Amino acid sequence: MQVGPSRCMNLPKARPGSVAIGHCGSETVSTAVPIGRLYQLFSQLISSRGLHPLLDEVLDVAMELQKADFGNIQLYDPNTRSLTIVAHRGFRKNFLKHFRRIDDGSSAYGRAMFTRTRVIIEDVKSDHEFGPHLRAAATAGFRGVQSTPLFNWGGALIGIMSTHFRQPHRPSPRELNLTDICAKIAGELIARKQSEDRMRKSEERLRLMVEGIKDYALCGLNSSGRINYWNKGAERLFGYSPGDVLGAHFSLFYDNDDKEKGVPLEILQLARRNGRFETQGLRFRKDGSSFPASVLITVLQRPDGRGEGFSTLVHDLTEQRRIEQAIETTRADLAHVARLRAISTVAGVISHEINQPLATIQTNADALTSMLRRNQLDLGELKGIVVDIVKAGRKASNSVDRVRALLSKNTSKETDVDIHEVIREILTLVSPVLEDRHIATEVNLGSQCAVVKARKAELRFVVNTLVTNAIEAVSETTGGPRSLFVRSLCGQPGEAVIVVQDSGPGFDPRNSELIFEPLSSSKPHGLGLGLAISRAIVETYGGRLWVTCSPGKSTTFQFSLPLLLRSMCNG
Amino acid sequence: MAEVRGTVLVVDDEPSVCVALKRLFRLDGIDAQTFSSPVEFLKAKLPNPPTCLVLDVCLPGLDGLAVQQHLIQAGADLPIIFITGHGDIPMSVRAMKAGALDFLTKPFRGEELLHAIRRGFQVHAARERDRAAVSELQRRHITLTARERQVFELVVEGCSNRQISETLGPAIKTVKIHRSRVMEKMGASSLANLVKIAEKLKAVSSTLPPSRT
Repeated sequence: MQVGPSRCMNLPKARPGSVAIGHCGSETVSTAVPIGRLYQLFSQLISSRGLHPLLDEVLDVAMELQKADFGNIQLYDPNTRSLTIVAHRGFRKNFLKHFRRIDDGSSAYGRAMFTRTRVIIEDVKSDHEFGPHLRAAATAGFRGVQSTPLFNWGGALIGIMSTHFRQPHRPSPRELNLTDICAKIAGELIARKQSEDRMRKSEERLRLMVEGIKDYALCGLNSSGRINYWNKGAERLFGYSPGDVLGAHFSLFYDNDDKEKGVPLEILQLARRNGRFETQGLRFRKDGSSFPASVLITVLQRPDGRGEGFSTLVHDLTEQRRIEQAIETTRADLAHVARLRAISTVAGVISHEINQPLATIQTNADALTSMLRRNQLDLGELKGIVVDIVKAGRKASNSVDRVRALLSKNTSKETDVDIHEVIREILTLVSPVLEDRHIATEVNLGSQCAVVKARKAELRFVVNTLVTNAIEAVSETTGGPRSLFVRSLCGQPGEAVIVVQDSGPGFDPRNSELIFEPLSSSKPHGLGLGLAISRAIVETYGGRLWVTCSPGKSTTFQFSLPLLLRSMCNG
Repeated sequence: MAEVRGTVLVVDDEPSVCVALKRLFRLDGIDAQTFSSPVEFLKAKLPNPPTCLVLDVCLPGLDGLAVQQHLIQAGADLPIIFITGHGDIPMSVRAMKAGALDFLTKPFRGEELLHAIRRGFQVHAARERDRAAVSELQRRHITLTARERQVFELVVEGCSNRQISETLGPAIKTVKIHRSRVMEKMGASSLANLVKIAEKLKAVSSTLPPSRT
């Protein structure tokens, strides 16, 4: 009788620990001993720790039920669709070697595997398909074999349970029924044990992995915030060993102020609400020292939606802060160097500016001395000398004043400055001049702000220099148009570019870098410093200042400045 | 130092400096011509030697060092004294390497400048004398016949009359005659003298052509 799982028993879904026995066909299972034995088996199965003791038990029971001479259990691997012997009674090495792996249907095992039904070979000698295995069977000493498939309660094949008889034999229906009961429950329990094992192994792996992460502190909390997991990284970071800290409340790591304000609990609430919460703050170690921490709390959910607790990942930000600080210091140093460069440029200019009038004074004084020595006291000449000396002296002192004004000790701090606003201010200031000289002005700054972190006075200087130069340039034009364009563009993302263009005569393009050198001014009263200083200022803030021109047609000055992120223009 | 008369050429874009310098020079009996730009100066005709150039390094347009290069390339052997409002060491080194006579920073003492100018006059005068002398030698050299020139070359190499005769062909007697003609035409008083003359001629022929005077 071939028996399939669905036809035999109507076993309701059993709770572990209980046994359901139903009726099969017309026979009632009434023999006490086998039942008792089965009951015993099931109790053991449930409490048994390992898979293999379990399998041995199952096999023993099956063999007892059928009074078999030999038996084995094979487990089924769904990936390779093959069977491997995992438990046996009475077989020797050769047999085991021969049947090490079954993946075809010649043996009873294989047939049972493929057909998913019980297979009985009363006498292997008269079974054609068994041919390849006759010798092995003869050596082992059996003639009859039956193989019963084991299923889990979902219906998936778990393995094959086989009994063997020295003589040709066919088990009785009653024996087979009892075997079916055994098979049914064994299949499910084996499946469960297997998956428990797998889970335990992977849990073990995960635990080892998590344990091992020393660089990140992982701390598990139950739903009220008490610590129920503490990895090596946490131990390393905080200094507490698991024994110190398991069961304690995680507010232990916060300072008293925070604890009073209820910060830890608030954090848990926020995490609960959003599933996760990230924060930064000071946390305290066992020895009382504190460190800046980045903390990520995630809610651990059970499948049914009830929160089970929290996992917190804590990262020490000390190193990161140190690096940020170093970057900031370097940036400040660079800005300082740029300033010094600007100052040294100016220093060169100062010395030149003052030495000219000094030379005049000195040479005139030498001439005067020579005159006195030679007694050539020409009054007209004397007067000329004195006048020149005085003029030169005045000039020197003017130079000093002008330079001092430029260099005045800069105690202002950097603030958020809107370049467009600065431009508008300067243009307003010069509008009378523009009108007066009939200079057509076109201003296009867009509607966005362009905010940079800078000293406002310095930006005013730059804009003023460029605008004033432009005005001076067009004021010389007699025939052509007199116009001034001021435009704001977006250069690279996060960069503002300001364009100041005039319709003046321009200059030789080969000298376009030369005009940024100090003292290159063509104006008799200029210091020749404006562009040099403007460039130094712009470069301090990480920008550039450059010029292009069409000789005779126009000159275009442009400078770029990096914008503060949140004001990136999107035009 | 004995006072040497001459003309100073001053190029400086600061008018008050030019005026003051003119005063100073005049008192010392030195003629001065002032220019406010190098372009102006380069266009002008040079006065009779000795002359000397006082040049500001920082000039609009062509800077002083470039002017120096201009003059060198044109073969003008003027001594140059640089003055500047803000000297830096690299600049002064470059100027001196290019052959400037001196480098003064403003404000300089009048006496220092006058001293340098006088030295410049002396240098210029000496150079002019040398140039004139070499010119004269060249003029004399041209009067040599082809054969005489050949003999000249061999004589200053140290060849004996016999060697010259063997090399060139004519008899020793003829060689002797050529030799004495060469000495006479070149104005040499001795063989050693002739060798020096030959060296001077060689030096000149490998450099720039003689300057305008």
